[in-house]
Amino acid sequence: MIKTKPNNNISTVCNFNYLSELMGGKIHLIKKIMDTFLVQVKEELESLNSAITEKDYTATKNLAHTMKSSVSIMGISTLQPILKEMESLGMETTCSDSYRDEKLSELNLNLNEICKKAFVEIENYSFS
Amino acid sequence: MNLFKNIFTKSTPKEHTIFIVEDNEVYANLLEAFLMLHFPEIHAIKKFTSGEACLNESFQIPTVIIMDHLLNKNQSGAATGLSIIKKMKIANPDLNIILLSAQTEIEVVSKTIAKYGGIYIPKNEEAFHNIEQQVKQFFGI
Repeated sequence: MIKTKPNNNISTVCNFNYLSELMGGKIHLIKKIMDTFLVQVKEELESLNSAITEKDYTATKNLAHTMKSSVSIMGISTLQPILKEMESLGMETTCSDSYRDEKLSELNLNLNEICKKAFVEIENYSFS
Repeated sequence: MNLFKNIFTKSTPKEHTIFIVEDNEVYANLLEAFLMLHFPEIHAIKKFTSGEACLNESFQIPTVIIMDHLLNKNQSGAATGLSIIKKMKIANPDLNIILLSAQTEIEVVSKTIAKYGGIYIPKNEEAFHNIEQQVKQFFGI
């Protein structure tokens, strides 16, 4: 069993309180979810990078939608507005493609940066 | 002494089966672990990544089906949870179904699912608590 502390450290991007609470603080269950998250979200991020490069808006929308649920489990709240906007831009039909591509690339840069930090935090998480 | 204790201790019969239809593996695994942790009555949980796969096995009549609405992560044209539920409910109106969705504009879907006797739960921070309460009702706890 583990007890997590409130996320007072502003330099961290994850907050594991929600996950820990749902899993009753059981380390083996938390670890299993973290391992699945690392494999799945790394793949999704790669697919999203490709979708944006290839201007595949449907794939962008679908991947951003899925990632929204996954990152909420790890308490990565800073990613919620980014993914929400990416999902909306994937569905957007009124703005120009150049505006949409520029905005998506900008959001994707932030997404990659935050995800990179999150992966390190999860991989180095100490259960002691 | 332990033998007598074991004989006379009332154990919970594991009689319920749950189907989870979710193409997000992280969310599906979390939901599975959460349910197993909170409901010792569960005999088995089966996970599906598409509505069509679940539909093929719905003859097994699980106690509850928990289904995501958007199941198009792997396949763009995949059937939505709602369309699968409509088919299932026509075949078996007594099925207990919970539809999950992370979409914000879901009013139409929630009204439609209610028409088919299903329960709609938004995928937010309260989702797992709401699922727990709903499953308790279906289990008659």
